[in-house]
Parts: sequence; C-alpha cells; structure tokens
Amino acid sequence: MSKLGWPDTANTGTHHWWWQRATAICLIPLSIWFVISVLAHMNDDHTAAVEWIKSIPVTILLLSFMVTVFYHARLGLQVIAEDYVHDTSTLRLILFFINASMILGGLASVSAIAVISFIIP
Amino acid sequence: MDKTPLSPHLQVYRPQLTSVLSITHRATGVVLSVAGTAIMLYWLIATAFGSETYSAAQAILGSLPAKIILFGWTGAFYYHLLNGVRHLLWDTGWGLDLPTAYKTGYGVVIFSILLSISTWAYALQGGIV
Repeated sequence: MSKLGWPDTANTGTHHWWWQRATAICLIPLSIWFVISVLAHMNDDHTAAVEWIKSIPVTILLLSFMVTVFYHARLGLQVIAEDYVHDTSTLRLILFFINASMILGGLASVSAIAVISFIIP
Repeated sequence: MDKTPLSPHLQVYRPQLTSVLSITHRATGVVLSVAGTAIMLYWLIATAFGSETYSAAQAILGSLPAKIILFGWTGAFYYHLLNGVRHLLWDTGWGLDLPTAYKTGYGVVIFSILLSISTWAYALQGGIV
C-alpha cells in the first residue's frame, strides 16, 4: 500500500474496525433514547424545548449522542469511499470532504447544545 | 499505478437477500449520516438561535413533505440499528451460517417495518405529530 502513497493500513485498519464497533455499541442505547425523547418533545414550544435540553442528564446524553454519531458516520462513510472510489487522488479529496464535514457537523451540534444549555437564559 | 484495491462491482452479481441487505445497510448509513445529521443540526441550531427560528423550524418539520421524509428517516434508522446489531453478533461469531443469516435478515426487514409503522401510529394517535 505504501507504494501507492497510501498510509500503511496494518494498524489504522484495526483501529478503524475497533472504533466502528465501539461507537456502534454506544449508539444502540443512545439512539433509542434520542428517538424516544425527540418523539416525546416534538410539540414543545421553545421554552419547554430549551428547558428540556438544559437539564444536566439531557445535556450530557445529547452531547454524547452527537459526538458518537458524527464519529460513527465519519468511519462508515470512509469505508464506503475506500471500497468504491478507485482513483487515489479522488479518494483523498472525498476523504478530506467527509472528515471536514463530519468535524464541522460535530462541532456545530456541540456548540448549539452548549449555547442552549449555558447561554440561553 | 495509482489505484487502490476495490470492492467487487455490485452490478455483476445476481442480487441475493444477503447482498441486498448488506448494501441497504450502507445506503441507510449514508442517508442517516447526511440527511439525518443535517435535520438534527437544523433543529438544534434553530433552537439555539431563539424562539422565532425555533417556531419556523417546527412549522417546516411539521409539514407534510417533512413528515414523509421523517418517516423515511425512521425506517432507515430502525433498519440500520437492527442490522447493525446483526453485524455486531456476526463479529462475535454468532449467526454466520447461511440459514441463520437469512432468518435474521428477514427478521431485520420485518421488524424495521413494524417498528417504523408503530412509532408513527403512536405519534399520530397520541397527537404528537
């Protein structure tokens, strides 16, 4: 693989595989909690929604869910790109785009939760 | 040579339940990663900006086209969740034989449909959506 100018996957491959599973296991309870909670709070007005997000367990669970989901998504999208994109430079570009968008998405969601929990009175 | 190894091209194989479910796992993963996170982010950011943007987001997400998209999201979510558990069981070495792989495959499809319908039946009947 190193001949292709591609990083040696002997270690990163196992690492990737392990984190994909670890985040998957964490997401089983987190995602079920998320769907049930969103369903229960769908009709909330702004005050009620903010109050809900502000409670400490909800803030912690929401932050955990967002970080885990964006990391899991990044790992999954990476595997799909690596499996189906043949050209190394195109693949690099796509992987850069996947990483950038998932990092931005993760940061944006964490910031939004932080604003709701700590800044909105 | 500047090419990486590739996965088999999907179109050269006769579709089988197992391969269709496998590609569906990836497809639902992409949908959840892209559209799912986008909707979540939109809702969170709208909430962070204040009550006006929040009400606007609630109105958009409560509209009929959005409900149809969210129903699709629910289906993709349950499928990816259940089939993900199937994958994790495979990782432990369980259920890899063909008869079991078929049984769990049908189970995943049936239960993701049932769960999606019951989630929305519950929400609609309870006046949540």
